[in-house]
Amino acid sequence: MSDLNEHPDHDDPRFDAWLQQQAAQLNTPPATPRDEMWSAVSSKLAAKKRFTVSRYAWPMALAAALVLGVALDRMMVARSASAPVAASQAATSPAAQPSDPARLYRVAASATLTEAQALLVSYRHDGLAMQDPAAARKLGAWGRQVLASTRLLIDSPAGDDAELRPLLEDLELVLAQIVRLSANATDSSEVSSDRALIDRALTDNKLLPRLRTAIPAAPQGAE
Amino acid sequence: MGTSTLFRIALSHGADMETQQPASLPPAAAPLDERALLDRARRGDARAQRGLYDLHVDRIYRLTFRMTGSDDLARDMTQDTFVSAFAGLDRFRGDSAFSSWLHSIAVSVTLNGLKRRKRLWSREHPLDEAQAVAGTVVASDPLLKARLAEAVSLLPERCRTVFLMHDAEGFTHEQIASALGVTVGTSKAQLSRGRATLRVALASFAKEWES
Repeated sequence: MSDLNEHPDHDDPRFDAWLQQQAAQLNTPPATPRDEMWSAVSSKLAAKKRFTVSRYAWPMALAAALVLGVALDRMMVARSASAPVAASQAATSPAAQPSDPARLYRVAASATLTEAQALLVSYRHDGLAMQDPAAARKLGAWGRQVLASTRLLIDSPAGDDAELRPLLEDLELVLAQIVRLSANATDSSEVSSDRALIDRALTDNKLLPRLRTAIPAAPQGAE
Repeated sequence: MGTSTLFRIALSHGADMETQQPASLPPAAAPLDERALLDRARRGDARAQRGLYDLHVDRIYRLTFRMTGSDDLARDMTQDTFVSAFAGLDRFRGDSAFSSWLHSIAVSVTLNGLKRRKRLWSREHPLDEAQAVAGTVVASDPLLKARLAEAVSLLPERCRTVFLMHDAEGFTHEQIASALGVTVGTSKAQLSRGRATLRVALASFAKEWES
């Protein structure tokens, strides 16, 4: 700044013209790399867009799971109110407070596992009907719904449960196979190989017995 | 090491680059359909964004190159300028020309980028080493260019920006004022002060402009 103070304004057109000539040669830019820079700009914009979407997607999914959990909880509390034994158990148990988040997740897990069990029983029972496109579509839609709930549970605090997580993961795999099978129901060669895979997964992983064990008795009894 | 030393290195580095385009361009004419492109770009239309990019990228790249003296840095700054502009297009209300808004982003992105890199540079390289490197680069250039580059690098940041925009890139004072958010008078004053400082710094070359 001292230079500025020592040498304030000046007026020398010859110097100005010469300086402009010299300045034009300072850091002379090369040809603009338009296309290369555009690819970088468009990928950065796309990444920004993805980030914006995913930033909202997870909280919304979690909020939806929580709402579902609360709704199920309210529903079960209402049902258990009509069953005196269940109601008295709920009143005496400290873990049975409706607002306890761990309990909400357990209730949501219980509802999903019950649904999954019903789906798998139905799949085993009506296996032959899978060759009927309408039945296959119906099972596929049901499977997608249960698969989505299972995946939400895996990513929720319920998925941190060391006993529940392996069951949810095995269930996710089988449900994904069932959804895939229902989409390919018209292709008989694919159907038989997919069915074999699902049956083996069900047997090897003892999925149905594990589901029965994991589903708490109280909610079933309440029904 | 201050910003000026970093800038001197950048200037010296860039001084060797081969000239591939005219040194200065006339101010970019605002196309008639720019408003339509802006409307579509606001809605996320990638083709409209590309259209706006094509209209303005040359001037932005040239400006950032003048300010940084490095192709890599100029590319980074140019990309960041367009990403910021397109991501924040809703903030552009059309009070000024789109080019002015874009230039103001470019100047801000570049000055901040240079400061950030200066901080990184000074953390990674001890002061003496950085000065030694700078000295070597400058000494290898022709004396006049080196002296001019050094003198420009020593100008205060705003003065240097105005000088490069006006004398090196051919921006008008109105364009500079709009891009930097100052009055035309301030832009003229900054340029005048910058030139006065440079005249003193280059006094030993007086015969070059007096002849």
